[in-house]
Amino acid sequence: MSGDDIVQVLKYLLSAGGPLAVLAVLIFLFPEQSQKWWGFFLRSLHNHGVSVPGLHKAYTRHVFQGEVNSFIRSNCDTIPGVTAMPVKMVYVDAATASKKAILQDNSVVIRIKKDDPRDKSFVHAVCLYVEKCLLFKAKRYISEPQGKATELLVSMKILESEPLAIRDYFLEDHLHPILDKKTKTASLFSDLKLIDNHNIFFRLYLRELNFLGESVFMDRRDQRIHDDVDRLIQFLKSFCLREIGSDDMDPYVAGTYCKFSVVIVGKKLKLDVHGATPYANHIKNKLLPNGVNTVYLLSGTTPEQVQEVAKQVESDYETLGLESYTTTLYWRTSEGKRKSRKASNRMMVLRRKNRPLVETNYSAPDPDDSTPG
Amino acid sequence: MAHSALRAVHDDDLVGLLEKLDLKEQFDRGELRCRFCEDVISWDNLHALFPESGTIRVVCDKKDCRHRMVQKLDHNLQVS
Repeated sequence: MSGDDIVQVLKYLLSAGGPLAVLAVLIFLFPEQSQKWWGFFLRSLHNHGVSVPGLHKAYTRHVFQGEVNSFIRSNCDTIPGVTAMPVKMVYVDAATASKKAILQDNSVVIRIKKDDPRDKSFVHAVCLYVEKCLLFKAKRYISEPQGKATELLVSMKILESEPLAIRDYFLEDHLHPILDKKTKTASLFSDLKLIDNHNIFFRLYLRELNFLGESVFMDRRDQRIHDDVDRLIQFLKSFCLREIGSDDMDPYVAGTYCKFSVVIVGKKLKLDVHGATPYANHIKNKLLPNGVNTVYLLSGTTPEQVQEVAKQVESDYETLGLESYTTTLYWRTSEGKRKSRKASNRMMVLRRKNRPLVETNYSAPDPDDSTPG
Repeated sequence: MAHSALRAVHDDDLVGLLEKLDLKEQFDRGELRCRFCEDVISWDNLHALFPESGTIRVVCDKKDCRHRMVQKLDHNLQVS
């Protein structure tokens, strides 16, 4: 439905049922946003000194649920499992709680402070949710710096539309102490921020971490998993910063232990002359024999050219989806100046059919003349 | 619809909850201590409650203690 269509519908509703009808439809269509707005309204009343029992309790819950669930809807909708599940803040009190229930549920109960001008409790609740729910599966096998950098970025994104006092508290308490120390976590955070600026943090990196978190490894080697994830991050960083026409980076990356690969479908000359075949052959001859479960095709070409690659491997890989997204492209002028512009890119996710329940060891495909690019 | 749940206690209900969990008397006497740093838990610094080995433990709001509590929670938040 286009924007004009929505306006027409709203005009009709306004004339037929009045503002309440319009409000009801908006709440139905945008439940998370509606909850967020309601929370902001209640918060505004509270901050202006309106004294109503339960006001602070109500606004904290609505703002938390609204912010987090809007964020999940916008960024995690295509990632399956708990990641895409809405969250509720469930208040416990003497009437609803018991020692037995808390012990049986094995649940933490976080305190929401009433006298809390910087809403620190809200920030703590968001960070706890991100760490122990949203990213629980994604962080299963990755290293602590990788996990921490990922958490910080996701928490920061949830909080970025909050008032300045709340964002400042998050920066002071969570972000600056890490970034100021120039550690591996700080470096990874910077890399992931760059990847997010080019719109592939959620659709590729976090999606792959969730797939990885679902895997069961027969002979688990944590360091090899960490190295593969580091390699993935560095490849995506290079991809984001590459200059058009440059041959500086490898055309693909594959885990040596984790079963993923990212393939750039890009060289115009190769595509024009040979079409999708070199890329499909690479997947069939190199990636499939090595048990690669997930292939991410990244491309600046037309959707049809990317779909052709998927079509040629459809007997072994199913297509999870083709997404278009906006990114920044760089190039050098004849004078050597680096320039940039916004452009549309494509990402297609291929998932191997008949994947094993338990992963066994895997070696990276040897580079040879048949690599694409 | 399935959802994740983050359990929270608001200050309006905190005293009642501590009474229900048999922690109020210790709290009033200043005998309730942070699980990690062993600081006395007061109205100002109580951050969270969590179960451990059949008892309810309390955590203060110091950054290190908050972090250690999260490390200890090796499970997902409740999904219902």
